[in-house]
Amino acid sequence: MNVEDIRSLSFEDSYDRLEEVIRRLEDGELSLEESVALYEEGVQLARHCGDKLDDAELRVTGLLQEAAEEQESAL
Amino acid sequence: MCPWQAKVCYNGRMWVRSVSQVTRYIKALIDGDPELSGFWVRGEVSNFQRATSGHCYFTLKDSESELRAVMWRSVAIQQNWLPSQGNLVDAYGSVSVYERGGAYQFYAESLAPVGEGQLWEEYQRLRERLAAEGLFSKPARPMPRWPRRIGVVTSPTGAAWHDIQRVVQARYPLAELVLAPTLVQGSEAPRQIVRAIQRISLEPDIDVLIVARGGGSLEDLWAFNDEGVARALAASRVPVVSGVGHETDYTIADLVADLRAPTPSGAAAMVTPDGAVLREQIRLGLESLHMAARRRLDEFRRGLAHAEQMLRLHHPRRAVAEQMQRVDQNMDRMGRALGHRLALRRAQVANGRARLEALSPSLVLGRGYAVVEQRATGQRLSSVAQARPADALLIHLRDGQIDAEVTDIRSITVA
Repeated sequence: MNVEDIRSLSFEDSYDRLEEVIRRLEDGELSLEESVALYEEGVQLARHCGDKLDDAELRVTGLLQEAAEEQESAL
Repeated sequence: MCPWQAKVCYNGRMWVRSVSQVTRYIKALIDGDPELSGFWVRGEVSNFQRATSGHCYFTLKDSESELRAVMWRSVAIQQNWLPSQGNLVDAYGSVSVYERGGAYQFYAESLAPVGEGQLWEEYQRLRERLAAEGLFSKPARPMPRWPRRIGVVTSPTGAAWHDIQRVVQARYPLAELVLAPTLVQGSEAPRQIVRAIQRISLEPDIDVLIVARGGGSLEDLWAFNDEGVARALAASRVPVVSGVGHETDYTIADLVADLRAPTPSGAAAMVTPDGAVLREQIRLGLESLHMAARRRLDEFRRGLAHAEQMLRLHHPRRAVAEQMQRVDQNMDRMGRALGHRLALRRAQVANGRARLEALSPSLVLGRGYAVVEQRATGQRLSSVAQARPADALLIHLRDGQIDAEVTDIRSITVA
């Protein structure tokens, strides 16, 4: 997965992928090249996760209340 | 000035008053009496009716009298509890006159069941009935690992909604809160809460639902002990977390929910991963990544060192040396084998020589034997038939020869 692919990931996918990358790297059975590529990917994923958390702004959507006049006595 | 004195008619015999004049007069009398304004009355409710307009009509009675009563919609929706037939209630309000009907009525501003136990008993009965139906014993569904859209059913102006936003913002701002606003208190609240739950269920991609309300008395929380609310929650397709009220009291909604939080903030925390924990996990993950990568590199390095050592071990020079050694060893063995055979041969030769020497003529001659040959021909004699009288013979002895001449021949028979 290259840097562009990672940037397009959601936080959740990025986080899950990071866990998988770590697991695969710890399991071994990889070529040196694959290991290095995975390591670099993992570092990118971790950074991306952090960025996503830092940049997140809570979104709030309000559904319409069915009868507006009933809001008078809302708590 | 008294209103009817100005507007009465005269029919020729006496003053005549209109019906409305009479009614208005009575109304004025009653409305002006402080004893009939703002008081409590206790009675049993009968004929309780809620019109489509939302206004409630009923009769309060005791063993001797009846009092017709009205509760306007605006008051009724503020009520946590509405009575039904036979309830004994304390009602607060005033008496006034309904002019069109010409009837005096009690205008209720508040209603409460008589006896503290009544709400509690009603709660217990509903709880037992729903428990028997199995509404509380469904296995709790797990919370989503990554909530994307969190449905919230609560009042848009309450502290609960504020708390939920604050907690989710702090913990997991990646989520979206979808608020279905509703009343959370009053007789209107249960119906609205049910509608709000249904509206949330129509939204796409909702992962979890929070129903919340700030703390209050058992009466304040009454909307969450409503059967319709309980059934709407039980029917929710997504897991439900209740954050209603109180540390200690369980509402019916709490019992139906998959998870129960003591407060709205608690409910918000239950449905969201903690960002601080996530950051720590990411940091640890990065550390594991470094370590795993270093370990892999070390493994490759060790593998390389091992390979180099193996290469050195299998260098051709070393193979040649080994072959040479083998050749040397074989030479040795060959040498040894050869030496052995030589000795054998030598012994055989010695033996042959001994045997040869045993046959040597000089040795025979030495033992006193002679060799006789024809002097003329050199023919060795081994039989008398080879000689004739007067033949010149040469007799070889150990230390010289003798010339001789044949004088006589005698043959003997050889056995």
